[in-house]
Amino acid sequence: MVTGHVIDDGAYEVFGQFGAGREITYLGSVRGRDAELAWHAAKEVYTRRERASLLWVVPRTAITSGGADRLVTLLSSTRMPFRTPAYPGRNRRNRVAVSSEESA
Amino acid sequence: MASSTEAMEDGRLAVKYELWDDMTDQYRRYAARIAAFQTLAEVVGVLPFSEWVDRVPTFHRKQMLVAKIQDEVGHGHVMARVAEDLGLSREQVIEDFLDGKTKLLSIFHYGFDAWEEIGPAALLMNSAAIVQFQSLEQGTYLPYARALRKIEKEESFHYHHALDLTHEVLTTGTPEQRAIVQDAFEVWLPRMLAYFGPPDSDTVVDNTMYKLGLKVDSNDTLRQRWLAKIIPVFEQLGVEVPHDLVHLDEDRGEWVYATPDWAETNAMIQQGGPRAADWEAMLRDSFSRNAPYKQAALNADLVAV
Repeated sequence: MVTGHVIDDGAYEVFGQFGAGREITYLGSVRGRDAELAWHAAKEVYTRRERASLLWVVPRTAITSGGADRLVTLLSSTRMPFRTPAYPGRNRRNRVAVSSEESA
Repeated sequence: MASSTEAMEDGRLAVKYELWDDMTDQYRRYAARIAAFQTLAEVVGVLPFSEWVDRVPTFHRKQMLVAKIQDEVGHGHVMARVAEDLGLSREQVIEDFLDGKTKLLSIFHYGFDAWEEIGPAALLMNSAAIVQFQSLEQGTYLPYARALRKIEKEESFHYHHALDLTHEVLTTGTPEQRAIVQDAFEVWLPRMLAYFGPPDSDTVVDNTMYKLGLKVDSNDTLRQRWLAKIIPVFEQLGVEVPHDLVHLDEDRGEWVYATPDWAETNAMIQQGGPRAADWEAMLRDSFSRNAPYKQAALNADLVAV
């Protein structure tokens, strides 16, 4: 369930893709009696100018959202810096090579 | 641009809101109000054009006009969703207007008397809308800002259609037809100047919409930005821009224009302009005539099987 102040009035969230292989993006929402009519409403309102390769409607109530209190758990780059690509290379520049004599 | 930057610096636009973020009741009310206001503008703004559908002189112009009308109604739907999520239903938006609780901006009180008038008038309107949307989309309520960005793409098509229509009449029209374009420019320019709202006063920063960052730039800033954009377009088209109507003060880098009659503008908003009663009647008729279909589209229980 979406948490917070969202009013559920039978809204459907609309997602679309404009060009095969491109990302699927959030477009907005529509109201509709059922998914079929909501899909047609979405087609009329949100695919007027670009050539859509995909159009999804999803009942708003079907969306699971962590809610604001859990947002911090999504901040992996600052909370868990060791997961980022830059992390392993961080000390490489200053790393001094061990001479072959020392290593022997 | 300068004032947008200043706004960023004063922090007014720094905090943005999604629907589910905590916001004050006042903020919620004003965000709903700005979305509802635009819903109504989109829906009523279509009527001066839709009454011309049966009188369009060529088939390809008719196709483009119908596409524009569908776009505008779609903009109404998109904006109505923004308002509805904030607790203000689309039915309420229309009913408040029909009950006289909300008023239309003066620009929506007029209609077109001739086909040749539509090009220049729509060109002024669409360019003004684009300038305004580009400012408003920097505002603090993100669902509204996203809706504006979607709308803008289509406004750009309307702009180019209006530009081309004006060009066609000026290039291939009779002297009488070209004169209508010239007159339309001189008649609609002051109306559009009034559309941006009263001149800035010292109290502009106390305006609630402005303070909440729902309104981004001041009226005069937008008016200047719009004139800088659109006047050269009309000059390029070959329309004569009368000096006393509008001109650029080169020294100050500022556009000087004949001040709209604000008393008359306000009187029109309250009492209704030349076509206001027609638009209201059309909307009232459409609202009741289409009610069964709307019920069927939104409520499964009422559908006859």
